[in-house]
Amino acid sequence: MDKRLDQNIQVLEGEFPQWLVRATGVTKAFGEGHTKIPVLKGVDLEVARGEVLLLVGPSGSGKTTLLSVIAGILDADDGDVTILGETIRDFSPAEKTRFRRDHLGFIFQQYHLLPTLTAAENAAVPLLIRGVSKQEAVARAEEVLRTVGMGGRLAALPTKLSGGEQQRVAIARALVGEPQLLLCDEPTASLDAETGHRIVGQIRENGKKPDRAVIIVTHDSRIFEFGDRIVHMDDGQVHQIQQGPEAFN
Amino acid sequence: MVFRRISFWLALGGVLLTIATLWGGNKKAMAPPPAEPPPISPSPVTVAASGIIEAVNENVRIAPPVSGLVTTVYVVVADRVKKGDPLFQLDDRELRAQLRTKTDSLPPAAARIAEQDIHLKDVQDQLRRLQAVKDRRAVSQDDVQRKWHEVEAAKRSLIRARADLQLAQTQRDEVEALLHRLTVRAPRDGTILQVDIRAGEYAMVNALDPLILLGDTETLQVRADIDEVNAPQVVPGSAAVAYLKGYTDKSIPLTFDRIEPYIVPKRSLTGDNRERVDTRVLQIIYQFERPSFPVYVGQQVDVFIERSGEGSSMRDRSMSEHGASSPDPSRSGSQPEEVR
Amino acid sequence: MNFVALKMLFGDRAKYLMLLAGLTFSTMLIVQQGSIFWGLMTWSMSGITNVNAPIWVTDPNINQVEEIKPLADTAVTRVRSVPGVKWAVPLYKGVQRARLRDGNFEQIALVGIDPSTLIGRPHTIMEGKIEDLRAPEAVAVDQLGVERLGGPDKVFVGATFEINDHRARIVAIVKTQKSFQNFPFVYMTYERALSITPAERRKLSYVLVSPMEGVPTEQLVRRIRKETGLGAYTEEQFGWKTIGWILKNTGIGVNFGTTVLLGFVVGMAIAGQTFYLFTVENLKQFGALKAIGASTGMLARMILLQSFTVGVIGYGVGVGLATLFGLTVGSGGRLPFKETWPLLVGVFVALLMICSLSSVISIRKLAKLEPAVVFRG
Repeated sequence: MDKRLDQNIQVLEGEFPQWLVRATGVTKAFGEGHTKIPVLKGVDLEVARGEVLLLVGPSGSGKTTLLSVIAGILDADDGDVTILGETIRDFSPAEKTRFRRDHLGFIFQQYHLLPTLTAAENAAVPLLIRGVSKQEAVARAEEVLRTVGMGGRLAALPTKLSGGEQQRVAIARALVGEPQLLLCDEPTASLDAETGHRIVGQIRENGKKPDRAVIIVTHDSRIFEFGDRIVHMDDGQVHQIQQGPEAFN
Repeated sequence: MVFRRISFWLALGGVLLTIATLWGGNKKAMAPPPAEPPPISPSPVTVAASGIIEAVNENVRIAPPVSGLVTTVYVVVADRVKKGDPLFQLDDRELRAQLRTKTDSLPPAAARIAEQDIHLKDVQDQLRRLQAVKDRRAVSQDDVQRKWHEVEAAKRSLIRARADLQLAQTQRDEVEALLHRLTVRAPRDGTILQVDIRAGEYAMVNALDPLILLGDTETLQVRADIDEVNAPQVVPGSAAVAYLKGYTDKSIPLTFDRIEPYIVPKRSLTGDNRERVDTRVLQIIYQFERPSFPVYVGQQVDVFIERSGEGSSMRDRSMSEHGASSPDPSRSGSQPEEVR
Repeated sequence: MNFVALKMLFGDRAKYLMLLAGLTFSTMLIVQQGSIFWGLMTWSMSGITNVNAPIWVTDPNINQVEEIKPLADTAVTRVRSVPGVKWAVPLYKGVQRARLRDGNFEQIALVGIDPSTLIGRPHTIMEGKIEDLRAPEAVAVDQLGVERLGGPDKVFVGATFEINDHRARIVAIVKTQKSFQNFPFVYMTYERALSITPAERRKLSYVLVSPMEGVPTEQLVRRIRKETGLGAYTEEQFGWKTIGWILKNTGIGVNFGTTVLLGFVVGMAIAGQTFYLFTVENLKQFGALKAIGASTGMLARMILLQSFTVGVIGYGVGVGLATLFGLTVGSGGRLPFKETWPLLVGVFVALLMICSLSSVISIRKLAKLEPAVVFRG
């Protein structure tokens, strides 16, 4: 499994340019007829390899929709999204699912851990979906959990964990499959400031690799410091692109 | 996950309990074997009948010649009697008295013959003497003539006296014969099957039940009743076997004797003669050798008779086909085919 | 992912309990109702099953076993004359009145069996010897008779009572299957039964027949019908004929059919709905899995695994409870309760089908589920 992933990466590195995700002219509207509300109005965005990109903006600015389109969960009405040289639009639903499984990692605002599984088992889920045996998957998940500082709570159920701990399990789950692209949707929104800060720090610490990219959707300005670039969105369009911590320092 | 284990074991237990209960409770009780083997047809193709064992000569229902008081019964049930053996005695005192009177009337009659004989001889002598006298004057012709008449009369008297004796003897013989009749005797050899009279009882001439039932139990026969529906399937000469009720491991081979030409209403086994009968039966008489085990007159038997047009003898078939596979369908075809 | 599916199922104790309870209850309801129905039918057939003969011959227009249309005596020999008949013996059946020593009357089902072979006698003899039936005045009574005629104190081997003003001496206590009319069975010999029952033109109720080895029962039945013009049935045919008559001519068919059907529908609705609710409640979890990359097929397999697992377990527990009910409440034949394989298998299949159906509905919902719900939420 690892080997196959590595091979993929090597092939991709050889063939493709610096950017990992490129969105061009993406539009998306919800509803029909009179009630049709345009959410994305032609978004162009590139995400480079090795980059942590923050997608910020007020509620309803379309940042989560953009994230969903990039993840292949929502289809864009128009425009193209290319990830790792693959055009998402060309995929069948099954291929999209498989693509997500093999190349993407997710962190959600509500964690979405399975309540009946232990921390280690939750973190192992992406590997289990790929068909890795339970024993091996859990062993790998435990390793990753240790790197995010959850080595002591491997057998705990999510209900016994604090929000921060749950989100760390979610980070482990997102990272266990070694995805090329990590997508985080408001990872700090349900956490207090201090924990949120630490969590995003961990996302950056563990997710930032030279050949990978991280996209974090947030409206929490306190974590802007973790972004290499900060993309401001408003009313369905890219409003402004800032460079990372330097811009603040 | 502990929970899973508990529910899993509960489910397994429930299923096992159900299977065990079903296995125990729903096992179809096997039919108990017949207590005695039932009568089984020796051949697949037979006509079955119910039969009764009876004496070859139909039983004799002994009745008195006249009504009268029974004084002595000489026999008990199961006695073997020869022809002429006395069975019972009716009251004969009256006839015996008559006999004595009649007997006593014989000597006077005989004496009267002797008397007439002497008288005849006397008058014959007198006549001879008168005729010997040649002198017509000494003896008148008239005297001779009268004497001759006297002789003739004496001759007739003697004849009448003889006839009187004959009559008296005959009368005595008649009484004797009547007397003899009061002793009821066996009309033929046989066994006493039933005695329904005791000394002191009054025997009626036209009683419904016989006083004594005499039968010949040495040579027996079977009377088989066949439902008239099955009657066409039996031809004269068909072989048959019989089984005693409840004793079916040994069969009694039967030989055909005759078919009663008249179809009779079936007598019901309940013996209730108020019953109306709607079944009529063909009766076939079969003879058989007395088997090694005891059989009795009146015993019921199950009879299996070979069907008409079924060829070889029954015993051959029972040898070759007993326990064999299903009968040839062509043979068990429709009834019209089989009725010849 | 099977492991994940099972953990989802078993992990939430409350939901699992509810789900299991729903399935258990519906299984129990259906099995219990069905078993009582079948028990009643077994009672109605008891007149046949107690006698246990392969072929029954009687009037061609008979409807059911308790409806006696007597034959002429010669029917026995006529049937014996049919090729392929191994044996044929007479049987008397009729409802008579027994008078107890205390003067009370009790209806009894009188059975007269062939005295020499005793064919038609009950299978289980609890006390005494059935062979003693051949003795004068001898009868055998069943366990219900013991109860009805005054209890074990008054009814024992050697005790006497009266049937139609004739003395009856008990020589055996036997075990029988209860009958629909709930009259106790009393056995005596055929001839004795004829002699103590009121005069009738014909008295032979049935001729019991066995085929020769190698002769198929059905074939012989057809042949007996053709050759004698009498009605002949295999034990099974006669049983079904009786059941059919009872279903058609008494309210039992409609009443119980409705009850069983309602039990079935209600049970299945509960089972289906509980499981559907279970998946709907877990929809968010499935959505997360879908977003992470689980295909719809994989999720469908998980749901099917869950529904079959809980279905099988619920079935097992439900059937076990129904059996326990039968063993306790229905013990001693007080309640017509009889489970049968077809019922159990049928309920199992129906339950799995309902589980599949609710799974399919859940899966359809899942297939339409936009994994986008996992963002925000």
